[in-house]
Amino acid sequence: MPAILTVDDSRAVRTIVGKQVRELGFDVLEAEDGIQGLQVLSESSVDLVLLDVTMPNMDGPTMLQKMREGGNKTPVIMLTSESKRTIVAGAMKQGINDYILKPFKPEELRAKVLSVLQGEPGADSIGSDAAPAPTAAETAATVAPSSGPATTPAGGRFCDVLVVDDMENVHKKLRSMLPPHVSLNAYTSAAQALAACREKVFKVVLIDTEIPDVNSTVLAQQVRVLQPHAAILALSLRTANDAAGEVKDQGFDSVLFKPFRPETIDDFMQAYFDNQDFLQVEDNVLKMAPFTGKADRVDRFFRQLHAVYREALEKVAAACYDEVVLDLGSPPGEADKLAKFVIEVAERSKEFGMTLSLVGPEPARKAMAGFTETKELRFFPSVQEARAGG
Amino acid sequence: MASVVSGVTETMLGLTFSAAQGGQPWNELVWRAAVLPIPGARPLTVGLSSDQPGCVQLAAKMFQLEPGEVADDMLSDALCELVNMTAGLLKSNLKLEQALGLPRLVPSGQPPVPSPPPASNAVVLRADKVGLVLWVFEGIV
Repeated sequence: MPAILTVDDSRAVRTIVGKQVRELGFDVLEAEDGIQGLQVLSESSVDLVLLDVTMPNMDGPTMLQKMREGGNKTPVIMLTSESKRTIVAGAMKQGINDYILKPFKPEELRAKVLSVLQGEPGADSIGSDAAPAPTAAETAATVAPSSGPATTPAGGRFCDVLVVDDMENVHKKLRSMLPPHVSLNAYTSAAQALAACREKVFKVVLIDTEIPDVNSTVLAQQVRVLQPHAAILALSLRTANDAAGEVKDQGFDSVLFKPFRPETIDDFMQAYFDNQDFLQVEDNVLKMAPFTGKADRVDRFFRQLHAVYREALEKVAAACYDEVVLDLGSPPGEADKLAKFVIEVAERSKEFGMTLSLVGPEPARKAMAGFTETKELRFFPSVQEARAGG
Repeated sequence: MASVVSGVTETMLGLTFSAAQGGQPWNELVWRAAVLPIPGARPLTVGLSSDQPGCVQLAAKMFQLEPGEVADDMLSDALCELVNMTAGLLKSNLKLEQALGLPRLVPSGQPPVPSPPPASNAVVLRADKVGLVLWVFEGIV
């Protein structure tokens, strides 16, 4: 039978913890401080330590440090009222498996104890090797991006955006508003999100500030440790308060307001994905990133395309293709700017000895038909048809 | 302040406190008191106190015992842990990046923090028949 050591200077907490874990069928050992805790560990076989932070004689972080220095890798869950960022981060660096803030609900304690001892999916286990098993909703919200060598598949190690929000509709709405090439993983629980953070590398993490039973500030701190290079943004309702300032005080980098609006998503893209792949190359297909921004960003969009298309064409030419396909995707409505870009690509393709075909929606076909230089180019509704037609 | 205390007591004890009506004095609710310092840039001392029946009720709920089964040391332990949790929540609400200190008891019959001027830093709370005073003092007592 697994044994759990509860180290807390409060007899009341030890009593509550003991009752809960005994009901789960586990043995309970008790210690009043870190010194006693280390003593118990040296004398008994312990499967899990529930460790308070602030205690007399020897506090929890010191006990944890001594455990790890001595080679003791027993799983540890911190159970404490302390939420100071440096203490949380320090404990996580020492390899705690989870962190429970007091006051705590019995069911939360039981779930996390079971998670660590049984490796149950769906519960927090910071440092666990087990990959999270996503729920149906989470699977549905995990959307693979378009294919291509430069993309970061949502199912792989790298992913663009992680969303933590208990409302699945938020996941769906955000997915629908982000460009398809931006990969996104979405979770309804902090536990799944933390598990994902151990497995993957995210560029941006969005955390709802109102998840039931979750301290979003602490969650952000935990994510910060696991994803030191990610931008961590609060998902917050638009209020009259200075939400942006408030979330920064809580340790977030910025805020993304709900409900989502096209202009805020556009700003978000501009801020965090400005160096996105405007032109992806797959075999002999150049795929333009969809334009989702404001009208005043059309020029920037085309400047980026003009800057990268030559290198993309060289890759296709180097692979000895006779034909190159330019997939226009969802281009901006400015036909003249699109035509100018297409003309440049066509001329450059010719220099490489390749002919250019276009793929795109009907409005784009009509637009290209309106220019002398582009009206003779072959135009297809899909890449498959372009390849077949070639 | 009531919501901060209730944030602890609802979860741990099933008790919801609200501010007592009519400016109820704290003098009868200092039979036992515990304080916890939060040193740092903005030093605070947080305290909780109650009368004997209140302490018994709180401890009984905390230890999940009948009131008659509660020993004296349990009264102190429960009060100290409640002030620990309350201070933690209060600190989070105030966004203070300061570490919690250790809770300790203060002599019986005394307010746990400097009280005068009357009630300026004390909030009397009630949940059913349990009276509780939350004390907050800017500084370390």
